Amino acid sequence: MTGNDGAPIISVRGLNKFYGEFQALKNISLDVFPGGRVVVCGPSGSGKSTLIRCINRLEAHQGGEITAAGRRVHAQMKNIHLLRADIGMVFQNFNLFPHLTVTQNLTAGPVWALGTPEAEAQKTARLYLERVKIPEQAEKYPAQLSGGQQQRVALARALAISPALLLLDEPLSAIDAKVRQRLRREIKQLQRDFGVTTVMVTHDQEEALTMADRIAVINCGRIEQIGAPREIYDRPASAFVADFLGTMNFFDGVCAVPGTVRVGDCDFRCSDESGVCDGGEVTIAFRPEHIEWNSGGGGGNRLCCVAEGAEFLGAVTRIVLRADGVGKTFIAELPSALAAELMPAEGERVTVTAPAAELRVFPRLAQ
Amino acid sequence: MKKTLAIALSAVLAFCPAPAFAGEALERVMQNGVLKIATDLNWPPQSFLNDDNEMDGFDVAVAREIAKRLGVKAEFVTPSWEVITAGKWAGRWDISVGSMAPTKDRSKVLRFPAVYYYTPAAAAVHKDSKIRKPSELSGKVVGAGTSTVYELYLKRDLEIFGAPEFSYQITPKKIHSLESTTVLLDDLRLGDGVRMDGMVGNFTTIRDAIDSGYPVRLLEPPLFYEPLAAAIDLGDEEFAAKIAAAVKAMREDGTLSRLSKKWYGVDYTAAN
Amino acid sequence: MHADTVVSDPLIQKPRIAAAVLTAAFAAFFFLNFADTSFGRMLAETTGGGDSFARAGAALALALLFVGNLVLISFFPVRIQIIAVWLELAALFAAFFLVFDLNAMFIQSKLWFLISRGLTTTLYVSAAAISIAFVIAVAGAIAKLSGNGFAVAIASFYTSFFRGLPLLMQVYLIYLGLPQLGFVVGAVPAGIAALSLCYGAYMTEIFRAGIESIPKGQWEASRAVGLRFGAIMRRIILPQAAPVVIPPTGNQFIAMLKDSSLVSVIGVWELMFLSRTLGTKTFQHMEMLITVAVIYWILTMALEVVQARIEGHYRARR
Repeated sequence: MTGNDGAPIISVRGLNKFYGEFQALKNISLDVFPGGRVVVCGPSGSGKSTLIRCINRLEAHQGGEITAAGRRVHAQMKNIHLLRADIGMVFQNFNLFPHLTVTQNLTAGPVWALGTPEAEAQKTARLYLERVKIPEQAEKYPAQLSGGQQQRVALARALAISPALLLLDEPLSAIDAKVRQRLRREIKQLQRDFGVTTVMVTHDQEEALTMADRIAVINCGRIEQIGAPREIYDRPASAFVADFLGTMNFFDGVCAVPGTVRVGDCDFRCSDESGVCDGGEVTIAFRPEHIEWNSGGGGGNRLCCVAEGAEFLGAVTRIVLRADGVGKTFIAELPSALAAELMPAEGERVTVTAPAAELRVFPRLAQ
Repeated sequence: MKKTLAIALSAVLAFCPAPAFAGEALERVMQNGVLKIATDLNWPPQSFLNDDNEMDGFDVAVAREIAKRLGVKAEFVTPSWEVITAGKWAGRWDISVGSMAPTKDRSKVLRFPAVYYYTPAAAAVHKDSKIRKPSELSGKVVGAGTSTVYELYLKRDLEIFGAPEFSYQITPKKIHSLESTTVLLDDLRLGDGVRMDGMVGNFTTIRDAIDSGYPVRLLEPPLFYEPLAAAIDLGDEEFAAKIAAAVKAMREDGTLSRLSKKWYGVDYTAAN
Repeated sequence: MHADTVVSDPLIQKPRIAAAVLTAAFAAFFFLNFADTSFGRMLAETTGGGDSFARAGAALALALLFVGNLVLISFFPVRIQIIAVWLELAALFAAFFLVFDLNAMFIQSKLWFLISRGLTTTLYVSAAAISIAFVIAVAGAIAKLSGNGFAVAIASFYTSFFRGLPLLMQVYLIYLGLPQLGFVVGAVPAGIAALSLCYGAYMTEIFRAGIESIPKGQWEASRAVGLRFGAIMRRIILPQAAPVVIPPTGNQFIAMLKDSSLVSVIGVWELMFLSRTLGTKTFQHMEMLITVAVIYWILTMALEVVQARIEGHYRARR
């Protein structure tokens, strides 16, 4: 955990949210500390957007407590607009005001909600437009801008109210890939420059890994794991997290002897200390990039395989292998430069190693 | 439950303003120095807009004279005939000098203090019609203004206070009921039997139409003489007496006769 | 409609179609019988062909004239076509009015009064009523969408009631009914009240639809920057609803202009009242009716132009 000195700026405790019978959020607890960059990620329908929309109460929650920017968020709260004016929000489809110019979009909150003098608000607006690098678009209407430019306006609008907190609801999903990467870096730069606490929602694992200092993985309305990106990637708390962030190979097996999992005719030794591996049905998992080629190093699980195909992905190449005695294919990834040397022909036999230290063991997923 | 409902209802009614009370009309007229007269503008020569776009006609002249004799100014309003005859004027205007026949039904909602003239009602047909006598209109389509005495006559339901004796001569097959005599005349001019076979209306109005070139023929003699009166709202006897006295004086000093001759060419102020 | 890019010849230029139209026109003119016109009589006299010959001849001549006219016009560009047909229809109407043998002097003598008194009153009553109706409509629409039980009930009762009664009845109800409760209202205020209440009810639905057409995201975005309900309505929702609301509101105003004639029954000296009154003395109301009809028509056309301008203004902003 990083930066958990001082009081959290957002504190969510035991949050429940229902849409009729359907429970969208189940007992969520989450703290966000000042200056933090938390990314909430999960598949679509997992409740991640609902969670941040509860924070500025665009959605009503039914149980638990939310405190944001020093105010308790609840149904009867007075002056909800003051809380919202303290929380900038960026939406997936921008939601710019189409009848207002870019500058007016930025001054709407300060002037019409907070009573900032028009001239001052315009000065601030110009400043933020420069920061998001579109000062020349100030007098245009949103419809005249590209998607990337529109999201820059949305970002500037959220920052222009000088918020204590920024909520980004899938801000880059509606933008094409190239622009998305650039905007990602720019948002990070803005976060650093303004030191604004950010909670971002995304379903994109790469975005989550690059943007966050802490990631909360959410699934079916429940937080599965919270932690630093590296920690989550390397030590996923569940098979779901392991699968959702990054690529993972899964083998179902039985734990006969503690520390050894039998998959088909093969035994896998693993050094996982989760305590799961003490008998019964389990799932073992390992990442494609951890496969070692012919090294035969100690502590490894040697697998004799048949190469079944390869996918060239640019920097890396993905090779599909079928292990003898396991009866299931798995994926190995290696840098393309290396792959050019080692690349087995289709149907060729190879021997690879899955290091015991990199094997994760999870309780068997209910199918 | 019922009791609470009754209490609630009476509570609501308690906030409804009380209706106008007796003696109020005269007081209002005298205090304001203005007699507000309602007259429907669609009845030449009694009441119409003249070439200068001002109100003119026999009724208008009589009304002005009444106001003069009360010592107040005359002011005219022009609601439609139905609105005037519906009564319950609520003080919007004080009097109608609009050639209104004091029928039984009307006297339930209005007070008729003074008859000021009598007008003959006559039947008329298109000039091409073969009909020569009013009674020949029986079994035909006959027109009359909606809720006028002429319509009541055709319905054999005419009861006017102070009307000279008359008999029902026409039993129409169907009554063609239209807004006013003028509209009826426009329908009749289209041709004999096009919209109707004949009509009943004010003798003078029809005669004026004929003078203006309408292809219409009057059927003599008049069907009945209709006493026409000024009307006021119910409830102020003092005001009624004042009006009655004013009209009586106008009749006695010959003013009414003079006005009648001016507008009709005939003295209609007495039934004959 | 979006026109296709494939062009075909105008229908009327196809011989078969032209022949069919000619036949139909001949049948129609024959049925209407133009033998007893100056042209028909001339035909009968010059050829000595008798009455039925004149009837057929007149019908054929008119049918040829009609189809020839159509074919001729069809060769011109669309703009010219529209103008030509407009002018021809206008000429036909003028001819129809001339049948009444109107007294132009009389019309001229009354025209200024019709405009200065009647038209002014009509415009004044309509403009006042549409302004009040506008306010009622905004309030009604907000009430209907508010989710507050009282507001929804009152607003929906109001719209149901005033949309459910004929306007004439509302005029009478307000003019005759209110005094029974002790509120004596004059004819003009009563007329304006009836028109505003009636059109307010229709416009409430227009405004409700307009407000509902604004996506939820606009509400969320405005709340997220801290705006409160009043500011959201005034600054964000209503300005965006305007392009949706203005065109049907313009239609309502044009409709109201003509419906305002109903207040003539309570003695307001507007166009309709004067048209029925001015001609009665000399039995020249046909003159007045036609004159006022033309005034209403011109007024409506002028307003349609204004409305098109306003619509264009909002379309340009999109």
